[in-house]
Amino acid sequence: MTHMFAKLLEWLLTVLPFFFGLAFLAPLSVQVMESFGVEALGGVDMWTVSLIIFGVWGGIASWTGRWI
Amino acid sequence: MDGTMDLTGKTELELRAMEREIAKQHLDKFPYLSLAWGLGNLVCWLSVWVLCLNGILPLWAGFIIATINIAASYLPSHEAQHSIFAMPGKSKRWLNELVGHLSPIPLVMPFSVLRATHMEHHKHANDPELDPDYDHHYDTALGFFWGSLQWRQPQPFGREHPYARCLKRIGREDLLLQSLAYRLVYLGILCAMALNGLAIEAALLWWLPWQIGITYIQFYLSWAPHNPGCGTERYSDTQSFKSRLGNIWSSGMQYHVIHHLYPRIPLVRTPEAYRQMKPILKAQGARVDAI
Repeated sequence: MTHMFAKLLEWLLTVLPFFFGLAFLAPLSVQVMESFGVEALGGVDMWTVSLIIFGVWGGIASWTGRWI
Repeated sequence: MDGTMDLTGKTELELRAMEREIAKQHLDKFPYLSLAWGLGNLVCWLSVWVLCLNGILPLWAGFIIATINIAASYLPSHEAQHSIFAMPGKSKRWLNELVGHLSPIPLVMPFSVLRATHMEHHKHANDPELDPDYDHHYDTALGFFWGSLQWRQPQPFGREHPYARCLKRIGREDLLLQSLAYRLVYLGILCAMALNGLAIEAALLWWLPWQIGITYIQFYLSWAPHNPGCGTERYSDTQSFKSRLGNIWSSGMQYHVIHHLYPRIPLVRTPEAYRQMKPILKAQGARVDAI
């Protein structure tokens, strides 16, 4: 049981950057761009662009253990 | 005692005894300033949130104040880590623990983790394997800034976080759970705010000030007094330094050498203790020429 709990925590720590990218950095970039009046990039909705960029970036951070 | 004291022919033990006599004048003094600072700083940071979220304080001003708050949130807890407010078993012990727990909340670091790892820093200062703060050792300030950025990555320097490694080494894995809980609450608040249209507020009142504050703390509390080239012995593991920002804006760390020799001397008394002890420390081989 303890071992399973430890594994679960380890997994949680690993995937945190991915969720942080989607749930914080993506909305942050949308709201920053919105404050400059930008709601789409190249015809693509800002939410879609941000979710793709920060989802991928967060995924890479989860995989490699570093954002930069 | 003053800078003109005659130390000719004194043995190391005699010098140590003189040191202790000076230290005694500064020990067991209740740090009222740190108490007000620790609690006031937290109240100020929380007030900034209320004021900014209600449109009373502009966000740019909130960002500046919050950054100062977070940079200033560690030291009162540091006094508590060394039981300067009250030793275990004393009537004011609860106050020691209260300040210790409350003041570093904006830093998202549990008091128990800070205390456990900081005691290891004191025991093993500058030891590459055992000092949990050794990762801030760089020859240049620029190198430090890069290292600090790396320290904040999910896996600093491609391995487990130095504090996690330290806690495991000393058998305090239980504290890892506290760290994780703090982290999850912090990220939960940031994400909940962001998903409710308050991402910029969350970023400017906590996320970005945290990044700046932690870098500031690591620079003045770890890099400047322990680098470059400090050793691991009693008189060589830290040094005095002259800060361009002055003593207050460098968190009083110019006299960090006193703290490592006598950790229970309150921060506000370290400059005076330093001036009194300087000739002795110099005779003992400490690095005290900078100021």
